[in-house]
Amino acid sequence: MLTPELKQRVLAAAASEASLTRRQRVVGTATRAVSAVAVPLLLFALVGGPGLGPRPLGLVAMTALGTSMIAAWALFEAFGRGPSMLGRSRGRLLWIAVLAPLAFLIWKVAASSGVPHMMDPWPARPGLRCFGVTALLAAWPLVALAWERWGSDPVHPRALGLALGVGAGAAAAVLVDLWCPVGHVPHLLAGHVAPMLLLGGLGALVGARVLGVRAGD
Amino acid sequence: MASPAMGIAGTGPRGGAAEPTAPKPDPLKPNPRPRVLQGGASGLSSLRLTHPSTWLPADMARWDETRSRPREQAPAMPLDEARDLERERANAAMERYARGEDRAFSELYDALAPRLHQYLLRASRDPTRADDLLQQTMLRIHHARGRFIPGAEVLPWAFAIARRLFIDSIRRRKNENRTVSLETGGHEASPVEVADDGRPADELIDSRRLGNAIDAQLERLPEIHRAAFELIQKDGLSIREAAAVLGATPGAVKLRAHRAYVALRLALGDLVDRH
Repeated sequence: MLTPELKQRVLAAAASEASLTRRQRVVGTATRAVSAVAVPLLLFALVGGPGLGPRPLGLVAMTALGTSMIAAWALFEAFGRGPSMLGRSRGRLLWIAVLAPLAFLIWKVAASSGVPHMMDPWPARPGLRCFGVTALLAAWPLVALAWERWGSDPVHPRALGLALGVGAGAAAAVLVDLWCPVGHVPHLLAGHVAPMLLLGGLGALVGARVLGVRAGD
Repeated sequence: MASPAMGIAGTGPRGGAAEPTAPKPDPLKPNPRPRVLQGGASGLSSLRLTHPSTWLPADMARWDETRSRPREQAPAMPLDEARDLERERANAAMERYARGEDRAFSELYDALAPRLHQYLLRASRDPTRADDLLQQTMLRIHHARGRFIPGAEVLPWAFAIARRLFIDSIRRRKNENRTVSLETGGHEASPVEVADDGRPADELIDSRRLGNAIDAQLERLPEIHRAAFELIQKDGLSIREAAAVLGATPGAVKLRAHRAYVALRLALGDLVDRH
């Protein structure tokens, strides 16, 4: 039964443990958001920045625009919670993990197929560098996203981790697409789509531990 | 659950004759009509599963009020309205707490604790564990106040946290080689007070037996069916809210709750008819 002593115990426990109000969280959230953008841009500059290669500027702009929209949608759906503290449904989060990489691939192929030789194979570029750069650029944004949602999901933390990982990968893929001129489908799968899925898997693995509500935390 | 003090909806508080023409309520609605404290349709289809152990403070207050009146003059008192008021109180308190008004936490506790504790006590069958889990749940809410979304509903979120903490505690205890069952705790049922409304002792005993029978039947159900049913019927969540708590779709939750209801009806129809 509920007793006044229990209430006092709970109130005392809450009073002894600090918690940030909404306003107090703004600074930390803003810092993480800025760093999630700045760090990948800095790393991108260090690896060489944008590279048109043989691609016409119009193709680069078109693919960049499309991949940006896909990444923005994936991040919004993954990180946003809508009007509910319980966030998006499990199905919706899983849908992000499927649609974002697929949409990226379809958009890239559709845009490249309209330009001669843009989908020719590049034997010297099987996709390993793109894979590595995507994972590198997505690492800090994924950490920042997970930090922001630490211990917040009592229902489906793995699905949330999966969606956040894919979203971070999709955002990194925008930068990598500016750098990589190859439109060959095997290269795209290995170097651009696969890291998104890997990051999603990593997010799902750590999601339950990091994003979930756990007793004793 | 049957309400021994208030009588089973449909038969009147003293087990009198039921009105023959009342409509069949939807058992999947959080508070199926007819409302408590008034007679209505008979049979398990109209059974309002409100065991006094599940009563909220508003329920107790209303019951105290009606005890002083002749039963035939007791007005219909919509418990769902009381629960809606508490829900709004909780939302308002949480919003104020998120903004930084520390004293709102006490109000938030008053609005959430009775229902959460009821749920945790039912799940764990251990008052001490229920108290601890309630404290942990409230502390999680306390720590997350800065992330509270303006306009969001507190109740389903609080229930989801409580459920997750309970399940997590079960898993941890399994590592200690204790045999427990999910959602039941595996402990002996703790004595739960039943309101003494002045009815004859045999009537109270029969109603208590019905409550126990319903509890026993619920425990035989698959956990996913039982959880859906109890969140909707006992904890007063909407189907959508229960779905959010359980991480399922509203359609799935509705189906699970319906299956639980059908199983209860099949198992307890005769018992209810005797009462």
